Amino acid sequence: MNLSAVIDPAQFQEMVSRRRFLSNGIGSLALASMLRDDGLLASESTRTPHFAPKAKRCIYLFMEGGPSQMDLFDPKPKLNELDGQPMPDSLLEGVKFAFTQKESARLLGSPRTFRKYGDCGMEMSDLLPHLSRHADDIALIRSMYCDQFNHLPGQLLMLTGTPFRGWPTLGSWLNYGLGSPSRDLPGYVAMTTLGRGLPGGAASWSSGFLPSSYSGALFRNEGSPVLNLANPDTISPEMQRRTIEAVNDLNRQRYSQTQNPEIASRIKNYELAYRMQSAAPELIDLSDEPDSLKEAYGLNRRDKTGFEASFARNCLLARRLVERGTRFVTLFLSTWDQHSKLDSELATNTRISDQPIAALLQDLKDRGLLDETLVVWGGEFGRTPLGENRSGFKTVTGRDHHPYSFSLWMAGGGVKGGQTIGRTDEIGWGVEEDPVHVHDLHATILHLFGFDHEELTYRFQGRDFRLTDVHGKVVEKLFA
Amino acid sequence: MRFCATWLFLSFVLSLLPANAANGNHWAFEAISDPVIPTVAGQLRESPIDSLVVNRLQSENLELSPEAPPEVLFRRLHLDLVGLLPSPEKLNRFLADWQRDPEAAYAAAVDELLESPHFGEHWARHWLDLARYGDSDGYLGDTLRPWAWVYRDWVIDAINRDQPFDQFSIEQLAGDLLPDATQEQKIAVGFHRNNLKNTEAGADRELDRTQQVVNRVATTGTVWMGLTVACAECHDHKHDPISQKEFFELYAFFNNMQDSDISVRFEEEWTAYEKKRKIWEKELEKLERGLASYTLPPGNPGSPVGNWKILSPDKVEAAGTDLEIRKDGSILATGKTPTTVTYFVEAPVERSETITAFKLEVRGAFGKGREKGVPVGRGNDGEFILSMFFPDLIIDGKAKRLPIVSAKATHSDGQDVAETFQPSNEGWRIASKTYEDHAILFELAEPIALPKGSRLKFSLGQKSGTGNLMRHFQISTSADPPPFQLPADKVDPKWAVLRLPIEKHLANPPGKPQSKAQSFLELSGSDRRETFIHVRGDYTREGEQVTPGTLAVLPAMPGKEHRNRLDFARWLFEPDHPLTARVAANRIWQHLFGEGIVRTSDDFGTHGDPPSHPELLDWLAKEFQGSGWSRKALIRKIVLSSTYRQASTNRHPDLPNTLLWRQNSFRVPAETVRDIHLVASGLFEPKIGGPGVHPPLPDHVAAVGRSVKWPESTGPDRYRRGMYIFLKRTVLYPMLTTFDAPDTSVACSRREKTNTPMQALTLLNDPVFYECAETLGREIYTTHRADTESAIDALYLRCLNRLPKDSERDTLLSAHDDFQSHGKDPQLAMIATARVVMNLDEFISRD
Repeated sequence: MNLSAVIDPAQFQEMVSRRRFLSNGIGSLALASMLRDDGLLASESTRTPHFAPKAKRCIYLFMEGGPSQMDLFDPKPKLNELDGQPMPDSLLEGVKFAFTQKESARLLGSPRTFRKYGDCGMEMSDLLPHLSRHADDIALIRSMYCDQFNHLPGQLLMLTGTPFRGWPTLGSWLNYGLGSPSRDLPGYVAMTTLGRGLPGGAASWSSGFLPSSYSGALFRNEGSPVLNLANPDTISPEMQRRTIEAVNDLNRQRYSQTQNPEIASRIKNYELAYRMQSAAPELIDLSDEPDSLKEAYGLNRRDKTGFEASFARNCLLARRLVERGTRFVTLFLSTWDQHSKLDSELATNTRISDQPIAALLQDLKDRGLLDETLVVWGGEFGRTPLGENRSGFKTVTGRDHHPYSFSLWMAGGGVKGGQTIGRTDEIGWGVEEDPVHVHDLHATILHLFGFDHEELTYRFQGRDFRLTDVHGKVVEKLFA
Repeated sequence: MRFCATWLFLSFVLSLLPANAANGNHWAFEAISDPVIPTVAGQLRESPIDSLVVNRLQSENLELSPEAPPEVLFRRLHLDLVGLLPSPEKLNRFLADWQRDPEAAYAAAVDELLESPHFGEHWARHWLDLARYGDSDGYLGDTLRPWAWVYRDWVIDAINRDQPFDQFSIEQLAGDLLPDATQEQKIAVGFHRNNLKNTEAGADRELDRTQQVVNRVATTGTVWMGLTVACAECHDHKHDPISQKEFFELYAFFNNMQDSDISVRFEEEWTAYEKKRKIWEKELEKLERGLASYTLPPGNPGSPVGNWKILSPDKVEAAGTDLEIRKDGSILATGKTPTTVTYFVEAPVERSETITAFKLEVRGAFGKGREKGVPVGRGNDGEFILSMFFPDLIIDGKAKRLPIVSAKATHSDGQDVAETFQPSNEGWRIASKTYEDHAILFELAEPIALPKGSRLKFSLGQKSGTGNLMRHFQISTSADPPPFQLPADKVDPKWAVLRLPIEKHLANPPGKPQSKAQSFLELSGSDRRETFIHVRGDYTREGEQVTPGTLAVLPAMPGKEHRNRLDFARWLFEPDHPLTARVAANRIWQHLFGEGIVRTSDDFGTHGDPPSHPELLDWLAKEFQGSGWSRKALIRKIVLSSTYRQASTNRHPDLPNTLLWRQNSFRVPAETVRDIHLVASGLFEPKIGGPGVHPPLPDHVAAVGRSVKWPESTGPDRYRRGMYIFLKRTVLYPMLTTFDAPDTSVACSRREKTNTPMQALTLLNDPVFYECAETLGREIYTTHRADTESAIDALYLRCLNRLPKDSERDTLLSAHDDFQSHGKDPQLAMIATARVVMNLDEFISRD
């Protein structure tokens, strides 16, 4: 049990001493629950890693809507050749689409140009001029697949391992498993750059049936980053300090009379809340970041919607969050749901995101954070090699939802960069080699954080639940 | 620590229990016993609850804690029974009664609270957790459910009138199938309309329907039987005796329910409507009387310009409608209105003459009162289109068409009147000003001589819109030379102005109540679905066909043929059903002690926790059944026990409280956190029921979902109880979520009770809570001014229902002085002091 790897030494010492105290005749069950009380901030962990974790933090870049893999990461010359041809019937059998009319659908080639990048020669499209410079840092999986062809079920599957609402998201599981080393910021933070909004709303960072303390906190990238963080207008910082002092003084008096341990937690949480009140504004105050870095992230970019600057800012804040100990950060960018106008909207999306993501990787690397920070990029599914001919569409300019194959990449946190895993068939319909289901991805991520995905469980309604349900196979190839 | 303690105890209990796997003799599947009540020495009160608890404690050399002080008991009862705080005045009265006779005072307080209409609200909220109640569909579209609250209000009402739990349940599971189902019963069955529904474009509808049925089966299992039946959807249950086949036999009961929104009639709403309608009617009559005295000026129909001779037709006909010749030579159309129609009008020429033009006049009239009047046309809204006006001269039986060169009309809506004498569907159209007279003149190409004895025949036709032709008209001829002049405008402008108020009034009658409720229709006949096992839970893979049935491990269901949902619901309440009464009694206990006798109140299966007091659970279950399933009677018995009345002080910090040597102290539920803030501040709006409310919400919170509208409530609605906050599933109210309100996806049998820094930030800074502190502080400052000590006492009484101890008063005085010297504002200092009290752990705790 390598506790010291994830918890700061002083705290570890304290735990050990309590453990020694407790181990006098009391079983390990008791130890587990005692450790829970030693958790920190929003996340109190009862678990310890099953083996040495390689990743300690995660930044998940969630590309809502389903980015088109054959226009970004998975070149298909044969598809271009067959542009305008019908699909072979054998492939269409039993296939469901959200909107495409199967009988008259035609293959749609990609206008993008692909080149090989890095020492590894990873192929990427011309829409990714910045990310392609990091080809040697990332592991590209071209063989992702899932079984959901609608947005919300697909997103929930990717985020929680089930297509249903009410289950914990990956970030909640990791905070449940490991707690958070952050002393004055939440262990799990979500930030958004939203076009059409998020189908799942707050379910996208919910703790589901796990205690709500493992839920993600929605941060804004300006103003007051957390709900209720700012004091009421008439309450000065000095009055706030004095208020918390008085509250805790009175709570302590009550604790000494009733000995109710919840009061002790309450006292601790008021102190933490007070610390967060200064830590969170400090987090989003970027004045100490050099201009050159802000420029590298693209903070100075100005577009009509403001998305370019907003997403750049979120990327920089993600680095600041993990630097301050936050365990899990999800950045949502919506939407990549290009049923029509694929070419122009894909260009818009990559214009918003390519530069900041590349800068984030470089920044993490420069600070020595990338080794222990897992960065994941991906959506909920991919898009069809067929053009979408939904009834009512005058022209075919987009692609429909495609769960049978899509691309996703990871970097840092124990992932071996510069490799491409899996292969799709020549038109990019199905996976031909090394299929990776969403459950396998989850099992792999848990592994990187030191957990056997079959062992990290939570008892709810009479059943031990886990992120991967009854599935999941670790993708060993990914590991450095 | 709570977890730690329970685990310690559990490992102890588990070691005592025989290992009983899924072999059928699991305790929860055994019949409910009639426990022997032990005689226990030194009992304060006659209560089998106490006997059973004390007996168990004594076996471990423990005893009950002393009774909590009266003010603590009074606060506890309020929080447990109605979820609100008592006022200091009410507390004083109670303490005075207590001085005289503690037992009677306590019992009276219990009875009063059980009869409070707020009791139904608080206990309805517990039930709504199980019902996974929400005001929207969930999923991507998250469509609003504007009538969900009708079910919510039904629950409040049913609990307030203490509807027996068996009826309460049967109506929610199968109210639609009860003989002569009442409106209330059809509303009640809306219980199973509360599950999520996926309406995303392109979603697989049948998959979603299947998932909804699975959710309904799972919810039913959890709520009434404490069983995790859904585990058996994809395969036989791993540890409980539920096969996949049995799951689908249960599923079959729920497989033929069809969502149906029914119209409902609420007397209150209709009384209010009829009252409004009467006032509106009176106002209308007044307006009508005002108009009655006004005399329309003469000249209707308007004065002729030029010399015109009205024809005297002697023959009129039209296929499919009736034409009548009036004495004045005008023609009136009545009867049916065929799709297209042509009026044929013939008039004899009585003496020879030469004519140059025709005039067609149509008659309309304004109403004097509420009737709008008589329109000119017979189409929609009194419209007509004359698309054909063909005059013929008939001499000796031979007809000759008379050519027209031009036409002009007093008014035409958007069509060229010249089309009337050309082949076309358009022509003279009157669609506005339909209550006025109109006229059209047709100039002949050349003067026409009409010999005596000849006849004029007119074909007046309409080709678009049903029956879209004139109602009342007359035709004249002129012998004048051109040009011809139209009649003068006959509308009295004064009249139009005078009529305006009545028009406006008529346009705004009070809306008839149109309330609906979410209910079900049971499919019948050939619409009924058959049920098959879904192989590995995949609905597209049909396995063996099954018929409705229950679990083999439970008592058999009476009758064999055509079992339906109603039979299933009744079966749950068979006297020998081992689960229903235990599960329900355990939940009531859970709400009064913070923990159930079976801690896993959602799981009575082999992997759930065993009961800490099996005999007590059985006694409660029998008592519940025996009292005719009266919720209030069972609650009363429990809260009158000494076990319930114990102090919650943790005398043995290292000892778990599973054996109940004290009351538990716990943080109140999310909605109560809000409600007690509102009550203590005086802002509380006690209105019960009605559509959900929308307290202020920061924009960026609402912006997360797809196209979410949050129409902020105004006035007293901002201060309604937490349970009335609109439950938009993609945008749950953050304060409620922060304090562990469930996310409404699945039935929630016991809420988490977390303790987080986000809660601290919310209590400190949420604008709603700050407004409460401000209101309270301002009021206390106004009444107590410089007497800070008495002000602090008042704050304590309002929020904590007790006076502060000296040390507490000193702490607050010192804080108050610092606030004062810092802000130099005595009122603000008191607000800040009130804010301290409202942030105390004790304020949001139930001791």
